[in-house]
Amino acid sequence: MPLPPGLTESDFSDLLEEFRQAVGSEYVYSSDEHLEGYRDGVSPLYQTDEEPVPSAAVAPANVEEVQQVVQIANRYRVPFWVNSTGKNFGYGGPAGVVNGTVNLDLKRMNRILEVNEANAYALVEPGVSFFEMYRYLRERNIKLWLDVPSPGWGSIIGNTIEYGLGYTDQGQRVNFLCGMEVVLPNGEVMRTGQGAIPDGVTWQHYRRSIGPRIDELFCQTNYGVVTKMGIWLRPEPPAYMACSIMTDRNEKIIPMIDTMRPLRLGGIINNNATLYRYPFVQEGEENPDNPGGWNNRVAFYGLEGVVKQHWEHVQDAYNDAMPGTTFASNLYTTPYDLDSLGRSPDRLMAGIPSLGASLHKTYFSMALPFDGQAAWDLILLLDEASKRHGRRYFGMAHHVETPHEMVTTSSALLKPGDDDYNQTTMRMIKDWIVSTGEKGLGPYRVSTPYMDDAMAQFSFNDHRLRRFYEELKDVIDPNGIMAPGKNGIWPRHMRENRA
Amino acid sequence: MNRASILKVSLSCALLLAANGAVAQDDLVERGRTVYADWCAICHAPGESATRILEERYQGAVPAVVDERTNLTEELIVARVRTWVAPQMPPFRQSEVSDADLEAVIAYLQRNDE
Ligand SMILES: Cc1cc2nc3c(=O)[nH]c(=O)nc-3n(C[C@H](O)[C@H](O)[C@H](O)COP(=O)(O)OP(=O)(O)OC[C@H]3O[C@@H](n4cnc5c(N)ncnc54)[C@H](O)[C@@H]3O)c2cc1C
Ligand code: HEC
Repeated sequence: MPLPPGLTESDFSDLLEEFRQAVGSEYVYSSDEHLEGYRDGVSPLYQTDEEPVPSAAVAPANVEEVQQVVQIANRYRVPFWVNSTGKNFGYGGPAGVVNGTVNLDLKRMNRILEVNEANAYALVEPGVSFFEMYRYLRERNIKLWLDVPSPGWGSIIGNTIEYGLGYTDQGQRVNFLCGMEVVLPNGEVMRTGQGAIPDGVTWQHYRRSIGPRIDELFCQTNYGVVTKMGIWLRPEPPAYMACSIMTDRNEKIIPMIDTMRPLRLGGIINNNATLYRYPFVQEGEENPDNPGGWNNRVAFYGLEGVVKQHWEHVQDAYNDAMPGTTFASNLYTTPYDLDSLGRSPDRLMAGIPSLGASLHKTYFSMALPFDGQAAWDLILLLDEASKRHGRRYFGMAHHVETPHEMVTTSSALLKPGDDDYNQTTMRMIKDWIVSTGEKGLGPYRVSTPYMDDAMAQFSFNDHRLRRFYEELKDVIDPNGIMAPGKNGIWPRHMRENRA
Repeated sequence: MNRASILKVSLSCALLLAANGAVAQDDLVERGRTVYADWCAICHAPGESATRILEERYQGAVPAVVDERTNLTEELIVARVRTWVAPQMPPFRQSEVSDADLEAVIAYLQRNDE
């Protein structure tokens, strides 16, 4: 594996020795075999000359050890990348942007520090996965539900601070984040919001201090290592209804979204109502011109009568606007037998984690206005862009995260070992990024190989936003060691690395 | 620990077994069962993603659920758990499945071998 940038063999061996003293030799990894799991084997760059390969990995057990590791990294000016559970597949996996980065692996910090059932919140460490939290709640018969992304092995912290999305009425989960503990890139610990009061009792209740709320400075950035995070949960509802609204034509996405808008804005539909191609067409499997339509997955939570009434109202609205729409629904009431959901798709909107990931894909996700025509135009635009590379666009999913916007996740297939194919996929995604940028649209989340391209789209007034991010970077992380290049934010001494 | 030393550990385990009877081996298998439940079953339980892929591949020639197999070699398991053999099964890190856990999962997966 490579050396960290700027280090000699002998510096590197001193560095590893210092890490061993900080966390114990068992938790410092530098052999090829042990580092394989810190590479992104489903990246288009895997095993090419451009792959960013880690030089070492360190797995601290607690915040003090994180501080020591960060202090050592400062002394050696060694870049490090952070993983909570390191399952960020599709968006870069566990690997960083710069070759020779040290991977700071927080999986061992996996304590659920508090669950407060009455006030519906939890305080967790980064290594806690959605599976672990779900199991914890069920085993103790705690009647709280948790919002989860589709792969349950990810980290509550890692996924939430990447602006990860789930499918319940807390689907834009970052809005339910309440209080953080962060190890700053100089090794100091900071608590945000009410956590800054020594022994603050309102840390997981109230989200601000006085002055600005800064938790999102640690989301999708490289300004600090999050070591604790509060997350609001939701009380188990008396009834839960999981519904499908289905159309038979691809272009019917336009009235479908426009019909949903007033329902979502008016608070009738409250979950991250996601539209999937239906029947599900996937690259490599079927023709994109297949006339298949869309399945809009919607959930209702609340009193049984109210839930039923809302669903009836929704069906009426679609029947009026789009005759021929078909519907399906399942009603669940307390006491829930959640295990009875088996592998049903209804699990996800009830916050039951699962796995069934198809990993060999690379992702590019956009923010869109909540507007049917905008969604349709995006599909046509991405299909045109794909054709320039001999491919077609397979629209993936539109997530109505909030009543005001949608997030569209798109993915492109990768073929492990087929460099030509993967290079084309990368060029195509870069084309998607530029073509959508020209239409005034920006990404919400992208994979590591395209982070510079994505950030370059936010170019108003000579990239003032990026320059602001980098001004902050220089102040918060003067040695420029934490996750250089994350989302196109580079420390001063590495800005020439920008793609 | 590299692969060769994992093999050595299992060899010394085999010697230990001869000396201590089956108790140590039972403990190891039980630990392996837990590791498997925590880290492998999400994909390898009946009906889950990996099982469906393996069902298709083996068409009944061997069980599709890996913990029902009786012909998994140590080498194959180590390669699967520690390297990117197939894109659908990312390798596990030491912080997830340690070398000791891996040894236990091997013992568990081989518990019914001839
Ligand atoms: C088939 C498939 C389906 C998917 N479905 C979804 C979905 O429904 N919703 C969704 O949101 N995502 C989805 N993803 C994307 C991704 O797999 C998940 O978001 C996953 O949860 C991210 O991995 P993680 O939680 O292990 O985070 P990590 O890999 O641990 O972290 C992600 C990134 O966050 C930063 N980071 C992590 N921890 C810290 C920390 N403590 N301090 C500072 N920075 C940190 C790092 O930059 C890191 O690279 C899907 C992916 C695939 C392949
Ligand atoms: C993310 C899902 C996933 C997880 C988790 C997972 N596997 Fe797998 N595994 C797969 C898939 C998919 C395959 C088949 C891949 C292929 O060969 O195309 C596979 C294949 C295997 C095989 C090879 C079977 C054969 O006949 O070739 C073994 C052995 C194995 N897994 C063991 C494990 C063990 C042990 C664990 C836990 C430590 C584990 N797996 C966890 C998805 C997973």
